[in-house]
Amino acid sequence: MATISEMRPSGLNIRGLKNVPGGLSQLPLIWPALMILGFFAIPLFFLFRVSLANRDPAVYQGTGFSLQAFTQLGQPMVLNAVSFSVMLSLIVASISMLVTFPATYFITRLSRRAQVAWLIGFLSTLALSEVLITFSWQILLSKKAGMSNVLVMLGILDESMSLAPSFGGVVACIIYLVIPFNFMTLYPGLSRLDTSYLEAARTLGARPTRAFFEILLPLMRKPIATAFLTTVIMTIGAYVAPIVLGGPANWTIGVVISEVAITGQNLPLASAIAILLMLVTAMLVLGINRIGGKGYVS
Amino acid sequence: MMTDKAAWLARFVFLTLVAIFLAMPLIVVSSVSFNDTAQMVFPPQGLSLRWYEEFFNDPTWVGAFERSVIIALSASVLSTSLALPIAYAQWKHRSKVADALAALGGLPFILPPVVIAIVFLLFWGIVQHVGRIENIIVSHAITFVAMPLVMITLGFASVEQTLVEAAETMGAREDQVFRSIALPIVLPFIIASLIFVTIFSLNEYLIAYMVGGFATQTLPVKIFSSMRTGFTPTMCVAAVLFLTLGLAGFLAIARLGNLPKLMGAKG
Repeated sequence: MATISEMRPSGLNIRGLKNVPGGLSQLPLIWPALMILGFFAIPLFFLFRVSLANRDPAVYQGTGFSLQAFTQLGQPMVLNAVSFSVMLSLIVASISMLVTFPATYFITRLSRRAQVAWLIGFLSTLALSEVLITFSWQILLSKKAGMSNVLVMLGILDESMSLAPSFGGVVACIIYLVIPFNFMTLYPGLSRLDTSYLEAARTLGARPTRAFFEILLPLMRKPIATAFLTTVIMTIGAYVAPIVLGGPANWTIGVVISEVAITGQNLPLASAIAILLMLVTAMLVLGINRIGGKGYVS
Repeated sequence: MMTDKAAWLARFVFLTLVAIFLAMPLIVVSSVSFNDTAQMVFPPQGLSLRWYEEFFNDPTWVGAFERSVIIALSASVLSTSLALPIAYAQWKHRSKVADALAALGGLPFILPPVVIAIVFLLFWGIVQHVGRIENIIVSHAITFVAMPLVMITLGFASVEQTLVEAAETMGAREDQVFRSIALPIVLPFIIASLIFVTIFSLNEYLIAYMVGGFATQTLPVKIFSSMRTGFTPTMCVAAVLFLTLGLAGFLAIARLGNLPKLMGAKG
């Protein structure tokens, strides 16, 4: 369809330059282009370059070319952390989805005022630093000031106890961190959902569970896959929660990378692990996309 | 078959449990901050503001807090200034260059945060510009640029195309169209992105820790290091401060604009 602007003869203003490559219209893009290339594309290139360097105590980024760092990826510290991180992220993503999906669905059926209140609540927890949330979970799981005291008051426990370090503590804290993100991913789809399908199903006598599995879930496949993936990406490189609430057995690949880079000062190896982590994440993205349909859009 | 009333009750109970789960850590932290004793005890014993006094009298806490605020405000302005031209060129000129930049700018959001942190750690180390406050500002601006990109794009998408065409037919120049038609509609989205990036930068830990030095310690970094060395209720004061700032920001967005729509709901 021809729009009015296309029918108007050009020449009076700079719009005429629109189709010239590098025309004036591209001018404002110079600023973001320089910044994004300079401070993201080049740093990303450095990551690949350093992963191929020899470790050199005298030179920060290492020197020369070698595959040394990649051959070190086979050590148990790295492999265990990778498999633990993948397992952790899948567990967290599944539990979080089981909670967030119904919660988001119910919230989108509430009044507008109530929805705004929930949105502000979710956004506020989303805005809280990972550090602060982990810190409050550390208090919650502690012996002196934690949940176990409440359980003692209710008579469920005889004596207060420390619930961290533990795998459960790490999982609970990360779920808390990702729930608002999942909510924000599912909210648009669920709030635009055409409920007439569900009503039709109900009028035709379908049980709610059947309507859920055969209508709601397929309709929401894409946002669910996206939310699941966001959680996996956030969890797989988690740093603060595992190091504070978990023991060495609960160290994710994120913790290992930081240890190697900061404590060990071995930047070639840290870069190689980061690239491995990117590959594992990409594989998970592709795998989950296959199940969820082409769901992942950033 | 569940009756409607039972279904309603089940929903209510479920949502209440979710709300309690979300509120639990916040309640614990804020009540510890008003505690009268130096120990971390919950439920709190005696009300007092002594930890607030301590926080504001300790230059290291106040310094970290001020640094965090400076970094967050600068990063939000920088990040939005990168996103605005890209979103504009995508909307106005359907620019392929802008599409490519938007895709590159969105990349940090699909990479695990620790990878981004390592990328910046390496970069600032290699260019030998270590431990400066601007490292954190630039790194945060780039890391979070996806947020203003999405929001401002949403803003431009809600500009009525017929208005733009009418203005152009009457001979308005491109900058006039931008200022008098697009900008008033996009402005709330720009403000929302400024607030969002500020809040996220304020709370970011890993990048601030890796690219900053001791002299550029932000509040989350300081809280984390105090967490490793021992508790003081002063940390909870910092937490309450952040919670209040975040809450104020989002309440402002909710008042200023249509929060459900900004989050992607219809209408």
